[in-house]
Amino acid sequence: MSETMSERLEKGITALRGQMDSKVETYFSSCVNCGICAESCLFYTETKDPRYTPIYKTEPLRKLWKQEYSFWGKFASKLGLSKPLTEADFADWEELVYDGCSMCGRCSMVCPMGIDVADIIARVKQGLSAAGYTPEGLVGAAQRTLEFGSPMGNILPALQAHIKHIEADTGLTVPFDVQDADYMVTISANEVVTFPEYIASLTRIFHHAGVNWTISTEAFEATNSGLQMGNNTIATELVGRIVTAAEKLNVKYVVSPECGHAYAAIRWNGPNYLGKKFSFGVVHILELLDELYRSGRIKTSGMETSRMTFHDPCQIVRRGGVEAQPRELLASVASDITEMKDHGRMNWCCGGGGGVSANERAEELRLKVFNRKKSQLEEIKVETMVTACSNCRTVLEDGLDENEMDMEVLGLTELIAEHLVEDEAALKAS
Amino acid sequence: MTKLKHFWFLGIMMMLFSFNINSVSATENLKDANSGLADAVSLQQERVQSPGSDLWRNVRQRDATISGRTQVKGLKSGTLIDTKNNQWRKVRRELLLPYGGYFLMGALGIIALLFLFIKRQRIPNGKSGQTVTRMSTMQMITHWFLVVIVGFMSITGLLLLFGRFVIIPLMGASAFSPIASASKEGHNLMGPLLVVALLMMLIYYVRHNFPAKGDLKWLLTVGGLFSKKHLEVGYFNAGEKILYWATIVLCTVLSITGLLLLFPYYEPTIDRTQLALLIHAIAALALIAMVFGHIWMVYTVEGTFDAMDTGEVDENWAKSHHSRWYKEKTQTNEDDEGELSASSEGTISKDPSSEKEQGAYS
Amino acid sequence: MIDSFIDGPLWYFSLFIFFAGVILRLGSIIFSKHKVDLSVAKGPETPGALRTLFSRFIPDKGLFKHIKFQVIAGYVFHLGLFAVIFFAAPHIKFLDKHFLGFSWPALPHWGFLVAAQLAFLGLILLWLHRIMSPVSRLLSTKGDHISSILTFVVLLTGCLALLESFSSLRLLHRFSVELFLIYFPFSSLMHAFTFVPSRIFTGAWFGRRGIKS
Repeated sequence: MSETMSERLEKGITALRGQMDSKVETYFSSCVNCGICAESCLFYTETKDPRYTPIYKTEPLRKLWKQEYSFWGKFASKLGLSKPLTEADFADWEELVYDGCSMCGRCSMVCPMGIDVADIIARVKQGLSAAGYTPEGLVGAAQRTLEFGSPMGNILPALQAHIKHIEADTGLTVPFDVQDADYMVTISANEVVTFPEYIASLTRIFHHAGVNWTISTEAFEATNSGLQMGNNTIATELVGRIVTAAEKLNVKYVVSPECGHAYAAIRWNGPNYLGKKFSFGVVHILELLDELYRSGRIKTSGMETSRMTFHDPCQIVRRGGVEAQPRELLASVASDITEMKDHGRMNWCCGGGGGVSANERAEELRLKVFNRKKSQLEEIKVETMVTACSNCRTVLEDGLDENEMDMEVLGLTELIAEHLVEDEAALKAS
Repeated sequence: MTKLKHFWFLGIMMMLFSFNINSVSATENLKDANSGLADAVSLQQERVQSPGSDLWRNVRQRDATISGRTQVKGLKSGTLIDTKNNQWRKVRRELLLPYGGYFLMGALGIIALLFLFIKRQRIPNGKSGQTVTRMSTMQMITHWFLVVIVGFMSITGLLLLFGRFVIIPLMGASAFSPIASASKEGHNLMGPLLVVALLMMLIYYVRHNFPAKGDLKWLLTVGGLFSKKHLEVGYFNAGEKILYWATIVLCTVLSITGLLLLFPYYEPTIDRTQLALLIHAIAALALIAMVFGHIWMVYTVEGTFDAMDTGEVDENWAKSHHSRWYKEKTQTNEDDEGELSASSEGTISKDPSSEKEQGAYS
Repeated sequence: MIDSFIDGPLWYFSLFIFFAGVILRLGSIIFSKHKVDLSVAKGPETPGALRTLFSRFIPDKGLFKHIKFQVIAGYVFHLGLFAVIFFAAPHIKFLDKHFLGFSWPALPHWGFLVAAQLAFLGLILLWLHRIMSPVSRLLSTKGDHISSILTFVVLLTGCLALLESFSSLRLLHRFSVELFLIYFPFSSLMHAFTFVPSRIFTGAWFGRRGIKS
């Protein structure tokens, strides 16, 4: 038993060593432990527990760096003065990193030394997951995805059933496995199971705009538990499925769904996982919609009059750079938009990102840190909150429910679909 | 250069003796420290006096100050020798140094006796393990900032006042001169920061230090020292409030007199500078003695130091020493919770005061 | 004996350690493994890097009210220290004579005093914040405290020697500077240099993702 324990530890440490590069060297050399990042982290501001300070969450990697890469550390470890990384460290930090961090990256925006703290925390996850310190919820989700294609099991039948309904309702066809399509659409399991209206909306918008699109039956799931766990092998496998399907269908673009981390997985991390540049482009659905809107291919009519705000999903806005597009789109269909106090790239996370929402153990903490969003919303008194991430949406609805707040949460894509100018002729033709 | 200074000093000492100024008490008090010097002086006395001394004595005219006429413009350019400086030197040597020394020694002695003979007061029922937040981060920073400044100023100030009689016999004059110079430069440089510390003290502590119900009773019974019954005490007890206001007053006095001394050329007469110096020294000695007492008080009541270490105090400590504050504190916490649940019905919430209590920064 | 040691060998030794150490550490940043990002960039890296290099001097507006103590004390300390190091008359004279061969206008004596007071004020407050705030108390290491103490001692000995007439005080100052220089490359004092590459890395990363940071 103890041997397997130390083997696990060794694996974790090896994985951490693999994370060392010039960035880690620079970041750890620069940190003066000022603690400013704590004030940017909702897990700290809502609990006041200093252990949730972002840079503290990187401690396992930092300890290793100190011992093996810094002068005093090497000196002290030679003399046997420093305590090496232990199982206990891994166990303690599992809770801090997986339950107490949503990878939202606010800390990376405020560090006076310019340290990308979220980037280092992602590296710590690599070590923890290699050593087997990953919450059950995430491991289960990853296993189901590997085995059945989605974190919620095999949802292809459910998807096909929904699509039948959609086709019956709208009289439009949803194109599966179309060779040489312009856009290959991917979706998140959550959108199939909880928000199927997203797929219906896409169908209507693409038809309206005359987009040549398709869904691959082999790879439509865009979420990536491997990324959330910090397991590159799984992450690579999952991104690889989409890449293979896209190459097979020879599409021009892969469209990532409203889901935040799915965008990060395929747009930013994907090519690095696979070690190659893609033969196709990757766009977020909002980027695509905005482009269609700007080029006049989407025509909307009518305005929502209820008081609205937009919740920025961290991975799409702060870490993804899709900040202007959702605002432009929302302004085209809503007249009364009030921004939250910290919005855009400084928005506060819903609390469920980075795999926290898939981790049942973290539920209590997640609901507690939702207080941050709650007070943000209370300041502006809106009736409707629009967002563009199915995970944010679930977490927000959950939080609002728990706090008995009466507020509607909408997906931006659906909102656009509702305001499309009806094209009777086109409807009849199909 | 140092030798010259030595002679200059000896000359002054000689004058002091030859005019038979009532210096017996000073020499007695400083006998240990000065015995070597006194011997040197008596040796010097046997020699022939400087031929110029009669002339200068006439110029000085005993204790009166004569003003002549001169083309040089300046406040005191008409005065060749101002005897007031010598009078100040006498006061310093004969009153301030001996009595100040006795005072400090006495205070230290009393504290030592207290440390030795008074039993440490344990927390009733021991530590509960549960803590209450007593001090915010800013309050603790303010306190320790004052400690750093007062500590540094005390050390350099005491070296300037008594150093001559402690350092020279211990380490010799050649060691004392750099120490004295360093103390003087350090004291002058750091001094103005006391004003900042004082302002911070006012900002972060004053609201807890206004007289309140029960303070008089506390004073009359000396904090319940002689009665078994525990008094109802708020955030600070009357003793702590007195300590606070005494600190504020003394530090204000020290700041004002200190600043006057830093800029002597803005001060038209030597009298006021000397008065400022005297007040400065007395206030400083009083503050130092008070700090001794403060340290002992914190030591003797177990659990008190935590308030300035982590800002968290044990519940049993709070219940027994500041029962009313503890009650208010736990009650407001409940109120906060009540307000939070009320807020979920749609009203804006978050009591700013509660956030302040928890949020360390205000 | 000890005078000539402090003024001579120890001085050159500490200078050597300082420069060699700083160069080595910056070198290890430049020459250690860089991961090449294969994803298609949305924006250029260089403007992002430059923007972040300067934008991080100003704290985020929304965050400022929660960190104003650190920010204000931080600026007071760093500006005071900078002025004291590079604009004190004896320092300029020293650099002119031994290293540079040219000089620039020094602060007047009162200006030096004010700068030193600000540096002291900021340093003491920041150090106390490090100790008293639960967050930085948890984070801080022995190294951070040693760095703070050394900086304090260097400042203090410098100010004690203000009269410039005792060689023992000057030597004390020089000795503490030497300790500071020797410790510098091995500690988080390195942030005085590494904040530049750190901000550049992060800024470039944000730049290629089309984010203003």
